[in-house]
Amino acid sequence: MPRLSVATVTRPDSDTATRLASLAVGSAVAYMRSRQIDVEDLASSRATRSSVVSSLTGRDPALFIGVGHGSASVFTGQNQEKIFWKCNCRELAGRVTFLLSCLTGRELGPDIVSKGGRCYMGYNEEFIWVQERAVNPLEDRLGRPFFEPVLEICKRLADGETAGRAFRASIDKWNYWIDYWSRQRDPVAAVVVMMLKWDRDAQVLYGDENAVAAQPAPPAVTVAWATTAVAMALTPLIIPLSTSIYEEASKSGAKM
Amino acid sequence: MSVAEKVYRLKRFISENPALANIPVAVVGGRAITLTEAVSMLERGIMVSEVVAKLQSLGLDDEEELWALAERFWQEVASARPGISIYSLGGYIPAMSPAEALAHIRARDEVGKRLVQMYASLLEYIRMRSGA
Repeated sequence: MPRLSVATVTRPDSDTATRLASLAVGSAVAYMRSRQIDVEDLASSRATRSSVVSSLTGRDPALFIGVGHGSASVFTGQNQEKIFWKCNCRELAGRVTFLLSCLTGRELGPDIVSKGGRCYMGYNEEFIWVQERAVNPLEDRLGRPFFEPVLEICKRLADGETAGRAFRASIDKWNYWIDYWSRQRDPVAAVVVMMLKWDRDAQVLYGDENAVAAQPAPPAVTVAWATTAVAMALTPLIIPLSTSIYEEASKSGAKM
Repeated sequence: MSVAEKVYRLKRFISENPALANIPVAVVGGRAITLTEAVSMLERGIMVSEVVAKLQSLGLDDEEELWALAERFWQEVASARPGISIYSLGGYIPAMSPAEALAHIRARDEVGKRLVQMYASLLEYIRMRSGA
């Protein structure tokens, strides 16, 4: 039984497209760690089949997130080394899988689910985007709207939400940015709208929509109660301290 | 739908979606026109029946017209914003400039076909949302 709140991520960087996409997904890794998810981040030269298989079999994570070039039946890592391909993806059985890659939704995604994967999220067309500068897409005016919906999936899963809710939250992000860029008069806006719409329409979810990959985040009320409890526990210390300050001030003749 | 109603809907769509107002959407009289130009032609009574007919399909029922519209679109992007970069996680084309995108369309290669499909998807989106 795969372990909740444990994740494996691959982030190759052997060409500009994978490097940029991996930079953006690095933000998701940081977020997951802030949510107490135990993440093995297979970045750069570690984004290989042997490392991925070793991580999945050794750590048994409930969540696998992969960045990489892809085709209908193949998902790749560093230097486009094949990591999973149709009929060779049994290591993903029982897990929630999200592949930020082109086209794998056509054949590999359904195959992952048919081989026992809890669910698969990915794209059944090319995942395409545009940037003004070759920096982390989240820091680029044009690149950001393409990766916020991607990160939404990662964040929601890290928060313990179901795959279905994560997927729908991501679609909401796509729609927000499509509307935003449709209202812009910038000459590049039509390109952004076209590609955002393309990526949104290509995003697919197969398998169990109710699958989760992490323990649910503690509800906000728990934090409120904890804060109240700490305040109550400290009250006996705070009042005498205040009193002694008052007494000191009175002795010195200061007006309170 | 009357021409007046069509003009009203198009104007509303353009005001809500200025990003899509000036991209080529149909070939009328041998020339690629935008939604803004289509409205202007309808208001001035120029080639009304042809404009109305073209707005119903937006080049989607004529493959040659679609290629021409996509070429014109990328020509304008290459001219207005030559410095942007297009990336994909498809492997075969990890990065390209608008000028390279235009070259792929002109060469009618596999990348060009995908770019034309993408443009067709945008036109379909405009056709559905504009109500024209």
